[in-house]
Amino acid sequence: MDMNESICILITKPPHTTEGGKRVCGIARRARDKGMKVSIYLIGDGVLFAKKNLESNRVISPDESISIKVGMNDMLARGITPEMLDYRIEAVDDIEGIFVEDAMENSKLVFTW
Amino acid sequence: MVTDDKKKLAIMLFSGPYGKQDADYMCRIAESALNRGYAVKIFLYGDGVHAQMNGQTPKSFLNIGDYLSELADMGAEIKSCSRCSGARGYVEGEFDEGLDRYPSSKAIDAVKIHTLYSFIDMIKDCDKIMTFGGV
Repeated sequence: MDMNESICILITKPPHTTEGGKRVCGIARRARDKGMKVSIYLIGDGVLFAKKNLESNRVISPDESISIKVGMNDMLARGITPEMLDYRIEAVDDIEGIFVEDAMENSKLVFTW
Repeated sequence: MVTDDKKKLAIMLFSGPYGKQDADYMCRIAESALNRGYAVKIFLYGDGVHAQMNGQTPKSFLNIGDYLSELADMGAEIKSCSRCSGARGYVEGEFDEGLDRYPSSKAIDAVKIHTLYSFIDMIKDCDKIMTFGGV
């Protein structure tokens, strides 16, 4: 898949305070439905999207076709431990570096929310 | 030193430091990009211009003024909007052609107060744009 079919999304805000969480999840899913490669990166309060058993505003795709990574330090700072993550989400140490490289090298579009 | 062969990342910051963490996230992303060899250009807009304030002394938060100075030392080009800065009391005179900035004793040296046209120049020349602190 070339760069023109890839987008990456950086989420820094929590899933439920505003409707933005629902909107950005909608963009991710529809991009996936259109055949685009979607990568989501969760930092800051965005790590709250990574918790398992969320009933709404979930970023998880049922078929696991959306790659989701969460920043380990931000996650631990908010009392979220690896056991509390959905199993499809990967916790990483250098999330800023991984995101930047994906955004600059592999993605046509970058959303930050 | 930024060279033309580097890929360029332009970043716009819309919100001020401390009330929200957007400035923290922006600085972290900018630092990672610089460490990976990308050229980074940052533009402070709206309340984001408060990130340029001189003499920030937060007790328990990341010092954004110091962080911006470190990013500039690493090679980042940082500018802020002159109208937004003027509205918030940072601008203290007419544009100085020699220094290529509006004068301000209230802003850190690492940030050049400039016109919005310089942001347009940034995005015309960049490979990717990111925004932090928008609604």
